[in-house]
Amino acid sequence: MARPASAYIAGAYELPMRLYPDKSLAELQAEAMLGALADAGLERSDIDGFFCGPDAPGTGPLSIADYLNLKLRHVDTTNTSGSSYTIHVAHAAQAIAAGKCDVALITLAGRPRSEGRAKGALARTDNPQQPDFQWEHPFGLAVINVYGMTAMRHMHQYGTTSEQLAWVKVAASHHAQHNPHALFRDLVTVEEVANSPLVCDPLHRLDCCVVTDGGGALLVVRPEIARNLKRPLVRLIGSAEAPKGQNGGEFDITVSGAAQSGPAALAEAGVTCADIRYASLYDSFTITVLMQLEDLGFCAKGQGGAFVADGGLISGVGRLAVNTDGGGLCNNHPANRGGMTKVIEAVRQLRGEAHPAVQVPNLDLALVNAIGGQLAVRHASATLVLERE
Amino acid sequence: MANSKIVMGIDDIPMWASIDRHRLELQTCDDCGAIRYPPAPVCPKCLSEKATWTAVSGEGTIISWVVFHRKYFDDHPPPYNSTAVELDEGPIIVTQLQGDEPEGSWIGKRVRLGYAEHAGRTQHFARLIATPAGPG
Repeated sequence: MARPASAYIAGAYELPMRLYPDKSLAELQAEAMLGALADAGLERSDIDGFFCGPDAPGTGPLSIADYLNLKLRHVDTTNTSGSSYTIHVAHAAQAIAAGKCDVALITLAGRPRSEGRAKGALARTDNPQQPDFQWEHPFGLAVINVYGMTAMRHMHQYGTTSEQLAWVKVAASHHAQHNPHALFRDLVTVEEVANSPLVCDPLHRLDCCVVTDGGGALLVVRPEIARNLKRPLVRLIGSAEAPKGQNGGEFDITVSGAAQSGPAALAEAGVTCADIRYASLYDSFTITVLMQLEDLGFCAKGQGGAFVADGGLISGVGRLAVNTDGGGLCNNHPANRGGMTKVIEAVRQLRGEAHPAVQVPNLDLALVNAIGGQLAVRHASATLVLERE
Repeated sequence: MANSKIVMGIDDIPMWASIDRHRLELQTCDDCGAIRYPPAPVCPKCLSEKATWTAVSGEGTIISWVVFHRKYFDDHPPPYNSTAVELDEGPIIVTQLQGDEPEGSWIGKRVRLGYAEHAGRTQHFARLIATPAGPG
């Protein structure tokens, strides 16, 4: 298969705080951009493509692009919920290959913690014109329910246990203890996770990701530009996206879109899961990670529990280093959208700039996978394969 | 906090009217015969716009379930369950299991839909059919 259009992630920046009570969304967008520009060694005037999600206040990209005073010739507001920013990397590379822009800025910023989503007690306000929500209402459902149903079915079908799911959180806590910016830095045990209060049986409080303010930004650039910068070269060599829904009422809730996007991205990159030693996997809930590991092909379907157990995801110890920043489970899930931070930690790993305690030695390949939306009923999986040159 | 709401787009009105009459009707495609859920203006299989609202048998098999332990809505005090049922006609719907609950896993248990008033509207719910478990 032909290699994809070549583009490089030249700048990556994660806002340091997890609570921003006194900053506007616009200011956070600007700080994210400034951080990524400083990281890459580029100027605002270099940016000619802008990618954002609905977290950017205003009409599509228009208000924030104007606020940042960007001079643009390409914009893209693809919204697949949390995986949007992962997909934006691929779309930016495609736009660069098509000659539509040279330096693409991707931003994310949100304040759900300051704005009252932290307790998870606010019901989502759904649009009655959205036909697929019929599946979830009016039976008192919240976002977690489809993840819970997926976990329950996985347990029934494959014998997966709460203790195995807990290992995903335990691994995240092992990594987060080294991240000074992480919301939760304390080590937790399997017993603490499995005995934490049930939110939506079978998922416990510690099976759920954090709610944080914050965000980040990425700069995807043309190869000639990347090679003139002082930063290590991180190239996108494979990408794929896969929206998955209810298929007219016939669907398997234990299979995610990663079963489609993963093999496609790996094939495009010309590598296999056996070549991957670091992966950023969207961890909205512990079950999300387990599903992705199986669907991407790191283990057989149904074997995810055994794969993650006994420290399987802990860097330097386990079978595969996953989410070495502490992930959404311990570190950060800004704006309730995790696709940005997943890319940022993969870039750190490929540059050799992750914390020494969690850095994978001599890393030259990384995989990023994000599941945006709701597992089972409507989501989009996005896979990236990144290479250090 | 407030009560949960029904999803009532234009395409959903006949289904909710049928639930008011205590019989769940879904659209059967006039061209390919597929029974679809949720309600939609075209068949997801063959794109035909012709369909007939048809009552389902109301029997099906539980494919998964959860029990909420947090309060999200005034009309659903925890603990409460939500249960995904694959109807014998094919589509998967979400409802609530009322009455007796199975020991251990609920998956594979046979259920029949019933109807009840809830927060000023009529909703379906599921009850276990007192027979041996069907296939999971």
